[in-house]
Amino acid sequence: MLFNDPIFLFIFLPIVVILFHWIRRDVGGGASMVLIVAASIFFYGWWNPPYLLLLLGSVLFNYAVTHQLLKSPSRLLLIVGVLANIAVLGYFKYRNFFMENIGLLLGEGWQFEEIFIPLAISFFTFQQVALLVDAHDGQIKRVKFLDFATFVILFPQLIAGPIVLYREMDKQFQSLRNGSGAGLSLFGLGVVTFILGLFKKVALADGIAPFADSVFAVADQLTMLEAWGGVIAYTLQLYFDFSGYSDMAVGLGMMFGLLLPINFNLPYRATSMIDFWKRWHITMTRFFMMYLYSPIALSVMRKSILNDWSKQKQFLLGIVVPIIITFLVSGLWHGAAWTFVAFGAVNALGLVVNHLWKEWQLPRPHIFFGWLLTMLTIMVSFVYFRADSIANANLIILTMMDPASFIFPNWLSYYADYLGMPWHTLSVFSSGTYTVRMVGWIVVLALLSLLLKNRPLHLHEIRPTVGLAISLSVMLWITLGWLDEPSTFIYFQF
Amino acid sequence: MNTQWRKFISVTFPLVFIVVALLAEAISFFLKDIPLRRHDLDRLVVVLEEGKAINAPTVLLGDSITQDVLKNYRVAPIGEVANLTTNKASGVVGSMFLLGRYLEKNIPPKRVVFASTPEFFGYDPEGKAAEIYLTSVFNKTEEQRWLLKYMSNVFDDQKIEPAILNIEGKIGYKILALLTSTPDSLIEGSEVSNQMPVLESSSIHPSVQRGINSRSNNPLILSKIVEHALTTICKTLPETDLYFVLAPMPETTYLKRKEKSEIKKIKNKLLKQLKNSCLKVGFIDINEHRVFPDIAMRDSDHLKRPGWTAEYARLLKQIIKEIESDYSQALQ
Repeated sequence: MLFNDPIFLFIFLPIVVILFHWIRRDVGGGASMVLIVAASIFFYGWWNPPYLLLLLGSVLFNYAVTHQLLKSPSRLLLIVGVLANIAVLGYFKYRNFFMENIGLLLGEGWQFEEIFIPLAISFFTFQQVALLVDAHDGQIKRVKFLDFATFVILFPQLIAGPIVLYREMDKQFQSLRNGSGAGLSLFGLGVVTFILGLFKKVALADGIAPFADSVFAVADQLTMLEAWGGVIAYTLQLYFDFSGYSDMAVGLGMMFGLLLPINFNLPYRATSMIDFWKRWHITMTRFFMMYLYSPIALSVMRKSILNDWSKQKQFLLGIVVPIIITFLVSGLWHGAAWTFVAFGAVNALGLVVNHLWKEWQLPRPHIFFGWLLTMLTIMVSFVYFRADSIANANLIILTMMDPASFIFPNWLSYYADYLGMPWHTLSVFSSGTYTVRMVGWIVVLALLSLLLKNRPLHLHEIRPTVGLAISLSVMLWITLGWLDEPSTFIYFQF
Repeated sequence: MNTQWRKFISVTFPLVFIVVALLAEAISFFLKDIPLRRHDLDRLVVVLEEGKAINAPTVLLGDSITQDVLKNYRVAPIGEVANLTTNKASGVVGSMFLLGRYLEKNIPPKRVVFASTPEFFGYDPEGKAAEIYLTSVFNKTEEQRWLLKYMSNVFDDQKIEPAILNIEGKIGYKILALLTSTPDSLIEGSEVSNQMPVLESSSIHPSVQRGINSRSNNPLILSKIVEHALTTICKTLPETDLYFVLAPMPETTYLKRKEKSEIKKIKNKLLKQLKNSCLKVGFIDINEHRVFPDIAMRDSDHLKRPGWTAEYARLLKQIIKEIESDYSQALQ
């Protein structure tokens, strides 16, 4: 079930919200948690019932391991638990990729039948891996099964995050169970946040998506301006799609009295790569920083102190290598394809350059230059993220940089002739109307991406005024008008 | 939830939500008679509705290859040909409705010329294209009746759509139409020279060649709906001759179609179908008189500008002249 599916919006959600608060008030917090777990199981099973077994099996296994780790922390058990999770993820998501690439290395053209990847497997695997590590490290004292199941399966965040840590949820679960939780106090803000997210997804992201798609579909026929237009359009689509989803998840959480962490904080205002990754997919970055980057960087640091390494060696092994490993893994986490590895690599390169700049104490660039450089880097990385193949991504990037492919569309032939420039019937900018619409979408969404604050971060600023009701009503009506063909969220594939 | 939020969620928001919908409905009601101007077809309809009578002896219909040429070149003296060409999206049905709108203000022409690709006769508008280029443009009662009878798959007269759920179509485009000037005459290019133009001979882009190859492989068919539309035209204009001029096709496509006798088949089908309902039906294949090499195309369906488009305009001008003289002779 998608958050933008009418069945979810008009049937599932109202029923679950009403039942949840009724049971919470009249029966008890524990019973309302049982309801939300049951509803979440139904929500997940709606998509593909057989894979429910995998999800439930994963929950039971990880609960058993967590329980054991809390009783007697054992490094071996932790390794077994983490490896078991990675193995399941690897089988479903990476088996074909690795086998096909091994085949290529051996000169064999192995082809495997496509394996259906269970929805949300990357998300629920990572949340549980984090939980196992926290249980082993003593960050968590005790876990009740109901809390554990709610933490993993909770439908607002099950499919595409935010990637939640158990330690930020357990107190909220306890309060909910005890009847001292937020109750309905966050409900109004939840509705506001959810509608804003729905609007971002359905009206903004889906509105600009056809323009981005039209460019990436004809990577070999683009001119310079078309390539730029498509890449900028996709950069905006990805932001509004995923931040829209994240706002909906946070809003849903609030409707049930739960505060989920935010995932975005005006990322396109970032003026450096370090700044960007503090603002983009914040919970994923946090996960990788806590459970991959920091352990590597700390162990290197320890060795560097013991062995008295030079500053350069410290920088190389303590910062550059962990960044590269972290971002290559994070790229691969998004999908089993070289395009995602390249996406990680471009970001790693950008971050390394950013750290080098700081390390060498080079003059701080003008804020606009920093912003421009950051945007260019992330746009290049998003080309790999979106393209069907590395070759197509390279082609698009080369076209963006190739002045020879600057060709006027035929409908501007008069001006092209006047300027002595070449013109042609173009694949994407085939008509003036289409091009003007695309440019209009880009301008409006670019402004919104820079100006529209992420509401969950500014809850205190939201007041229940008539102005808010008008804005929400307009957004909701526009969204409902576009709901006839709900499209999936980009991050659902991960 | 504090009192303020409780009031907001249970009263203010639902109330405003309904008021916004009613307001949109009211705005849409006041704008309902504003004709849309989203694309060339909308503007053409506005000209036919609001412009002066033309009363041309020849009405020229056709798809984008001809429309593209006629935007730049005139193929007859002013007032002799009414240019009602449009793009493929509205189909022959759209051309039929355009002719119907033309006849509301003008006397019936002596001849109607369809100058189009042969694929135009196999195309039926569907989905979004049908909505944008057909059902939302031609919404008079008799047009809707025709659509209901022959194209009920794209037209649903039972559909009630509140304005708030189609703000773009029912309000946005109408406001845009108010902000733009009203077109008052048909598009007329400059008169095409009788001299052969300088033709472009540069190489062909691989993607264009792929498009041409793919076009060649699509079979040529005559749609049932198109048959109905053409028959309707003939019944509406019992004293008018109907001519089909097959527009330039890239050589590869033309030869393949010839090889499979597709041109002959579609010609025979058209002539047979309209034999009993039209006064006179003529069929002229421009490609028989002039080869259009693949390099003449800027994409699979359109000619390069300015040379090859001028050449098509020149040939079309000759053909229309010949048709006119033939008609005059017939009168004598």
